[in-house]
Amino acid sequence: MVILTPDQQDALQELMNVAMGGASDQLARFLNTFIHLQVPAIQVVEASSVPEQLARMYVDDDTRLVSQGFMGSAGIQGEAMLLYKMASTHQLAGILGYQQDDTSESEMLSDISSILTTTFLNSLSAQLDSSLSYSAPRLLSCQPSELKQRLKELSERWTAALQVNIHYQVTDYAFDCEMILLIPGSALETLQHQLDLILQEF
Amino acid sequence: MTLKALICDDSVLARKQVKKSLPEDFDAEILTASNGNEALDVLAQHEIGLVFLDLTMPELDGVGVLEAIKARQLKCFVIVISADIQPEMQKRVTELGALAFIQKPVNSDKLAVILHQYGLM
Repeated sequence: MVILTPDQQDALQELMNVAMGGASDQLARFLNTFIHLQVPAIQVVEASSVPEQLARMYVDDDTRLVSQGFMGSAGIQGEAMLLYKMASTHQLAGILGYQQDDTSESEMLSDISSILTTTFLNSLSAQLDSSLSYSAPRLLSCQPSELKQRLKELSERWTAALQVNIHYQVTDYAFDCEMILLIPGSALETLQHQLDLILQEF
Repeated sequence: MTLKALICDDSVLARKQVKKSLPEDFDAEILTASNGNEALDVLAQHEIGLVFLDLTMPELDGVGVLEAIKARQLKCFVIVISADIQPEMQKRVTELGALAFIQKPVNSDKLAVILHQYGLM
């Protein structure tokens, strides 16, 4: 398992911070509100540990999982997953004027995921001097009992997972979601190399 | 007397980026802080003329630092360098007295323009 050095961790955290800022700005425009940002907590874990860990975190919740593949020029590729708790999503749908039925809420989550994932990853790849293309977001709704299996199916192909915990505090309601970037080991090595190049520059 | 400038950011990389983006002929003694509370300590102990301030930080964030600077009536210029680019945030920091807002990652040309514009070099 590849472990980031403290310098690499700091650099990646800052790159993610910039990417989060851009994504949040886009989301704030979409939600027509102001978002209080927090420093995103990031960690690199083994992909195989993700299903167990997340299933534990979301054990009691009706959850939606949106997954989107990405591929870049410099060997960066993977799968971006966003996890939403439905309890906080219903309220959001009301505020955004989506009908509170399953189809409309699914549409809303696809819209939000698309904004978050593409803005976030575009900024990240721009900072790494790379460009990315995306597949369409796929929405998987799951009952708590199915979540682990769904995550398992998604994570099996990948080695490493970059876990980013996102917490958005919107003025009068809280909106939480978890972003997990699943990437192959080779992409993580590429990423480390690019972080080292950035670190050498400064 | 040489200008004392404070770079406040929780990221080591970001602090280095700001330092390296300063114009070569910018003559100042540079101090650093890794969160808002540390920044306030430095501001209390040194006569700081200019602060490069990040917004999203643990413990005390950049808005908190701007509020404290205002409350303590400290005479220092603040240039915000942040990834939080929401228009409302830019408005908020300007209202709190920040001189300028620079979007991260910091750009040396923009920084030079601002430093010249406000006669800081």
